[in-house]
Amino acid sequence: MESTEPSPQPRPPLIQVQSVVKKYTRDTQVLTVLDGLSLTVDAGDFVALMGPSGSGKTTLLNLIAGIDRPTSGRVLVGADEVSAMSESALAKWRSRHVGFIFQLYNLVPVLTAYENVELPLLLTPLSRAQRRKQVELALSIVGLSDRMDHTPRQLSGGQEQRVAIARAIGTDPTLLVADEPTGDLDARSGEEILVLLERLNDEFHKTIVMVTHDPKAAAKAHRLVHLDKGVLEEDVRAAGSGG
Amino acid sequence: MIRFLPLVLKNVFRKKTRSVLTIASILLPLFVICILGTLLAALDADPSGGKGMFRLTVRHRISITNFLPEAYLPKIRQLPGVKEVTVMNWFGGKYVDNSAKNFFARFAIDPEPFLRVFDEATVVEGSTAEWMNDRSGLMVGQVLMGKYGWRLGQQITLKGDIFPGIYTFTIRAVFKGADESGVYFDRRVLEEAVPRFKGLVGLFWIKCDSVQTVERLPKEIDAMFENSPYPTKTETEKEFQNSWVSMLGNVRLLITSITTIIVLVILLIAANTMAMSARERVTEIAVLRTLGFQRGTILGLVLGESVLLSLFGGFLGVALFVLSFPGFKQGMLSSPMGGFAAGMRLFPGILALGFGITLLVGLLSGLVPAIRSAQRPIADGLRQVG
Amino acid sequence: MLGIPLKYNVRNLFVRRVTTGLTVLGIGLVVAVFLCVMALGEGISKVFTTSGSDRNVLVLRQNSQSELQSGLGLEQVPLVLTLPGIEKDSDGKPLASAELNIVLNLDKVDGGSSNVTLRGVQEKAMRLRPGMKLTEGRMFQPGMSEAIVSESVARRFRNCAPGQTLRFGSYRWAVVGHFDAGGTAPDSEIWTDVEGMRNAFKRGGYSSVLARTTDRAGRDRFVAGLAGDARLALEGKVEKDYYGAQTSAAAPIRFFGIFVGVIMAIGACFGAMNTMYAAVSARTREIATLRALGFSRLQVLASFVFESVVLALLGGIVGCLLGLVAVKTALSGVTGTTNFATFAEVVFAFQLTPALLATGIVFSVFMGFFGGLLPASRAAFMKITDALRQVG
Repeated sequence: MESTEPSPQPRPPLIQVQSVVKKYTRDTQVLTVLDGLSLTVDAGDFVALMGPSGSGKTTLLNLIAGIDRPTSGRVLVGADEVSAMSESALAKWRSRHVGFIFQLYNLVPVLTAYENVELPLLLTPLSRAQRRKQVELALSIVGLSDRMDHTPRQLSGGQEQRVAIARAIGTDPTLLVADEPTGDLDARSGEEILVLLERLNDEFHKTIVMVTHDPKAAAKAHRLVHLDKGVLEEDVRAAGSGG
Repeated sequence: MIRFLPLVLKNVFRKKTRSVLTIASILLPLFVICILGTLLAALDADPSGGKGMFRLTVRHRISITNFLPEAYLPKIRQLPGVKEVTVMNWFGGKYVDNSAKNFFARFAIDPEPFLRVFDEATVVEGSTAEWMNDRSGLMVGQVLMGKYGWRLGQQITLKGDIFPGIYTFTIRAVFKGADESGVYFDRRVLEEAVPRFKGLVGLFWIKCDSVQTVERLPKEIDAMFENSPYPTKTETEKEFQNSWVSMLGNVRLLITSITTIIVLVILLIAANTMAMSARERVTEIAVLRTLGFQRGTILGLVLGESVLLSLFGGFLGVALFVLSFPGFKQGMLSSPMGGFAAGMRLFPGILALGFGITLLVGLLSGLVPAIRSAQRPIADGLRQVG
Repeated sequence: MLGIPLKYNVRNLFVRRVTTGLTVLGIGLVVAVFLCVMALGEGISKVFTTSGSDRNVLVLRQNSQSELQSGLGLEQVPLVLTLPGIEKDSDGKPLASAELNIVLNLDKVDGGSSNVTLRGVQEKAMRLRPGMKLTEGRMFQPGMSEAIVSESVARRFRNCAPGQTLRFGSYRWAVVGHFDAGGTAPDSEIWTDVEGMRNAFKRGGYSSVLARTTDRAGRDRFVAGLAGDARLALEGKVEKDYYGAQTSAAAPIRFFGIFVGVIMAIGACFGAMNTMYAAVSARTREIATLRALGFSRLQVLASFVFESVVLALLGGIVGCLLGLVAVKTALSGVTGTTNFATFAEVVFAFQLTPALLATGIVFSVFMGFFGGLLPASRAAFMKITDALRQVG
């Protein structure tokens, strides 16, 4: 690893990606998307993964979030070795520890904002009343308490993305992963989302890993990681960020 | 899983046109299945309410169209275990014309012993006394009364073929309980009109004192007449009824095969719907799994959706059948299939079968899409657009 | 007129293989069920429509619906045979046969029992039924309690092979041969000598007389002669018409076939509609593009209706093939049902005629047309601008 650990924090890194290789087989061709990549992310950090398309950033994000598995190498999040978990253990792990934010929001169209946020909470043993409290809190954080009963169709893109963020934080995970969260939004809505993410990082100490093309989005992050052709090309800690 | 029910319900009606069409295309075939099942059950139905298990019939060994001498009656009566014996002659003939819708069973009998053997028959209109006192009195089954809208006291004219002549009867009693699709009159009417039939009997009915007697008697009676000019065939009421069904040919096989194919048709239609909706929701399912939904849960959600959809269709199909049943039965009675419709009623077993079939269809139709949805790698699902 | 190339539709059906396949199979099964039931009805009525000659006259007691209810005294037969119009055989005797009909309750090979007509005949009986021939063994000898059995009956009932004996209490007939009547009425019968049969059953007379008449004029004269003689109280029915009237035995099964067929067709129609709606919604942008290119609403409508008809037509073809396979394999044997006019079994084979197959195809085209109409109009009346914007 070329990058140095700038802060003398006593806490161990939250995410450790160790010599990860990811290959896909399409027909007869073997495609190497990640080629022995290693990376650590500290708890409470806000990392932007950047790079041209096909550089492997979404794949890396998927590996960290436990929705894909490396061909070789290890991925650890906290004390858990994500890359070694069984399918069902992974699902359980995701529901507790990771919140997802997608470019196309991916809300369930037939459910209201409230029900969308409640969806991952249905996987917890929480009672209906407890779930209500959590959902209302999450929606108030994203500023949509007055839109609870709207369906995705009745919301603007920015609002949809805020519901998606509320869904991601509803279970109070330690880690948030976002794949181009502003990619489908106009500048103003995008800015709102970025401010919200910043606040989640600052105020609620969520560790955020975000894939983005958008320089403005990247500017909000504390650390910029550039990927190209499946290897880490550049790792920069943004000026003025303390973590 | 209960907490996911609202989600499943919403998914069922996500594409309203599709759901409605699918439900309609399950509903109609299921309606047909209910009808077929009821027809089949009606063939096996026991209108006597269990009393038939104590009865035997004796007919000519050659076939039902040959007569036995009435002299057999006292010989049968003196056998141990026999409580009562009576006679029954098939009149044949025609009412109005020979069309199928004017076909019903007409029997010449001895009223008093007849009512003792068929003691499950209860007169609901008129009285047995009026019927027995009027030589040309007619006792009519309730179902038949309803079919023709006859009234008590009305005159009914039958034209004889086996027993040539024109006979006019007056409706004196209406009964229910036994086979309600026939008419019964005093056989002396026929003996007077056609003397050569005096002393000839088509069928003896025996009422036994116990089930053991029912088992024992057939062999005894048939042995008794084995070498006479009029050999007999003695059967239980059940066997006798089955022989009529068996005369129709392999009706059971026909109806069961059609039912099976209809189930297949429903399955194909439902499977098509589920395949279409699962295909459209690949991304959404990947998102759910990203959120931490287990494979099993996804499987349950998709299966739940297909089962609910199918059950909706099933419920409506059964409901349609139940609602339309009275009218439908009337229609059947005057259709060319009238002869088979008389024993039809709402059999709980058939309604349950209807639900069972839809449940099965729901599970099977959802199975492949459910498994595929659960198995698809999340990353693949997320990559797919729309 | 269509404008939009038909290839476009056919390819689209192929692209959506799974859905197309499921729908085609669904429609196919509906058509196949319809065809099989109708083939059953056709089989029954074919027995009656092909039975009997229009030169033969069946003499019955007045008002009898069938031979079973009819009866002629011994003394009546010579009177009948002297009436004008009957053809003389080469030996100079009238070409006629006095016959006796009784139904026998026989055990079926596959369990259960049914009634079979036992027909007592005179020596000219076979000449009166052209097309009927012995296929195995020999003719019965009068007075010997022998019988010949149709091949179809022998296949369905026990104890009917040559050398076996049919027995009822004290009655016995030795089976000495098999015959085939080309699918006509005698194929449901067992034949024996009428005099022996009268003795066995102690019958004082016959059921009927079947007579060949010289020609149309002779036939009419003979029938009129019977009607004209009030003492006889007999009537003559043209044999072909007598059997023709019994085709009503097939009415219940026809009714049943149409009833099941139509309801199932409506169900399958909804299924096709579903598939077409999905096809339309999956191709929203494509349709809008076509419209933007200048294709008219009518052309879009026609194109989708056409696609739906092709879909259903494939189903119809599959259904016809399934029906044919079923009738040639599982349903290829003879089967029987009871004709309640005669209380005896009619033995018949399923008849899947070209006309029925054509009905099946037309049936499927209707399903496709009605199933496609609504989805096609959704496609045709879609707003181009909205549709172009829609994703996926």
